[in-house]
Amino acid sequence: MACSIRRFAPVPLDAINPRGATTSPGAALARWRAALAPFLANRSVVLGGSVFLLVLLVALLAPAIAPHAPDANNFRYRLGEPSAEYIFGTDHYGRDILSRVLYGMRLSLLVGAGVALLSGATGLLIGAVSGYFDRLDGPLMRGMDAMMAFPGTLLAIALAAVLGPTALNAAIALSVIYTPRTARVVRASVLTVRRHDYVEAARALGAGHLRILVRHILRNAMAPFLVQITFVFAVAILGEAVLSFIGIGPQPPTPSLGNIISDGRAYIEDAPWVSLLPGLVIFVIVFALNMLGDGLRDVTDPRMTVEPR
Amino acid sequence: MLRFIALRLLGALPVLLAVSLISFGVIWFVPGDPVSSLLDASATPEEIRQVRAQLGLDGSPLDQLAAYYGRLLRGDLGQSILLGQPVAEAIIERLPITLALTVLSMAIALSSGIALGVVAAVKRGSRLDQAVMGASLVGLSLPDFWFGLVLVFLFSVALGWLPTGGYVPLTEDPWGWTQSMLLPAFTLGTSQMALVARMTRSSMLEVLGQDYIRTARAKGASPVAVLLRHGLRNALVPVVTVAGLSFGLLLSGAVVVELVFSLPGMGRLIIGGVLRRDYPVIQGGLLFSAAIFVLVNVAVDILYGVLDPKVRARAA
Repeated sequence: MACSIRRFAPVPLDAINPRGATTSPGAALARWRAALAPFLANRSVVLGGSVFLLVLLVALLAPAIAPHAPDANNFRYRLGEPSAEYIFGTDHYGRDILSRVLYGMRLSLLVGAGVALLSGATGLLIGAVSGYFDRLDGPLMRGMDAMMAFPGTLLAIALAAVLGPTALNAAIALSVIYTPRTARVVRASVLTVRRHDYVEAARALGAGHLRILVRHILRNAMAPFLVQITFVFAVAILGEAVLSFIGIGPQPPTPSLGNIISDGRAYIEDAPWVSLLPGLVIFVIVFALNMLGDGLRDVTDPRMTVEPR
Repeated sequence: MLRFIALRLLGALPVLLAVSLISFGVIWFVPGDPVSSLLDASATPEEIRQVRAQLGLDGSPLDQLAAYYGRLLRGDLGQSILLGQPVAEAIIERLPITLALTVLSMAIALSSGIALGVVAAVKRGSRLDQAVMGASLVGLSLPDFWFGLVLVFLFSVALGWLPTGGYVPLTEDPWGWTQSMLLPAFTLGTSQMALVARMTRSSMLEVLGQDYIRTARAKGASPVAVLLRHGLRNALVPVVTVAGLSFGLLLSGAVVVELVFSLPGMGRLIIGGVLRRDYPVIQGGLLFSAAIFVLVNVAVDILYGVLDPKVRARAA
């Protein structure tokens, strides 16, 4: 029966999960290649994606490529200018900024990914349920509206402040504020997809709610969700930087991009590199992710307009 | 029209109720006991009781809730633990700075964002369009607290044109005030400018493809009139909504920008509360900002109805 239903699914299904119609390894590969082709032809996807992969690689290799230990201090070279030994200069404890930035990147990316996963999972669940079960739609969406009625970052600041200053709590606080918008995106695409005839066909064939929702609706509603998650990753990195800049993110001496900038603020006149270089790194990561998200959106839905996030 | 406005105002009540409940509930997220996190081990039972009362945490949860709404209705946001001052009073004292900052940056964001968006839409696909879109992506990706530091470094440290921070009251020295607000407002406005430019561009592109634009052109209306009176006027409707949402982002952003530029506004108050675990300040600041944000969005909704009769008809 599953096979007879599958025939109703539109082509993009295979783009998302090519397991569906595999006949031979060669055919599977060809399918993947065909599905990926439009993405690889998009300049934003390729450029944003490659920069982001490079950033990931650098962060993964941080322990191997960092020239110094992130907390090793050289008291004879405090607030030192960028030099051959200290490429990004040193801070007020004589610590190597570059090494701290490399470790800070790991933390930023970890928090960003954590928020993307956590708020993505809750947003997907809430959005799917409220798009599919009409009775739950009202209460769930009113709840999301209430959360969106707060200035977002401010709510995250308050939550992170009461939870306590750790990277995990920062990730939780940020996940809370980015969940509603993701839920709305998922709900909107579920509402569109569920009108299709093949959903009706699956129901007529006796498929249960869970099967219809997961296999037929969600699978075909994935594209806007994945685009949204890319943007959440980007804003979460900005959000984490804000929290640790304020002093309610991961605490020193653990380096995070936000707290390095905050440390350097007092020395903006004498040692501008302490604050300015780590911020440039945040910017590059976020820019790459935004570019990737824009590109993914253009490929998957050229009509979609720019919405505030 | 009056009916429309009344409906919108009524519609905001449940949202305000939810917002106040969430603000009330925030303190429950403190791991362990919020009172003991404020006092050291040597605190006497009397001190503990006093702080508990100050946090509104005495009595059963239901009593607490009732007392909370009782105070809210009287405009009382509680008593700051560290400032020795009512939270509402502390907020009102600092509010003008934050409002001036958000309004100024909103003005910067709207004026340049709309202009850039229109230009990009008219010259669609050109180098100029690409440049505007590229710049807006840059604007959206900038951490604003860092961008503020970059501006401080450029204009204050390197060029010496503007002060590095601090605040000069408008009534004392208007020129000094302008100088102290210029960089913060620009810092805060940049990311919203990017957002507004993108929104204006896409909305303008949609409008310019409509039949009535072609009709206006065919009737011989001047290109500028077509663009502004027929095009922009209709394209602005969704931009107004974005501006309302931007306001929330600006209120959040102001918190951080005030920190960077040492402006003694509401944001600094909240950060002070956050860093010193002054829970009433956190709760009150959160609720107050959210209430402003809700009311601004009601105003935007009403404005939307004024601009677009279709919206009005649908709601009534």
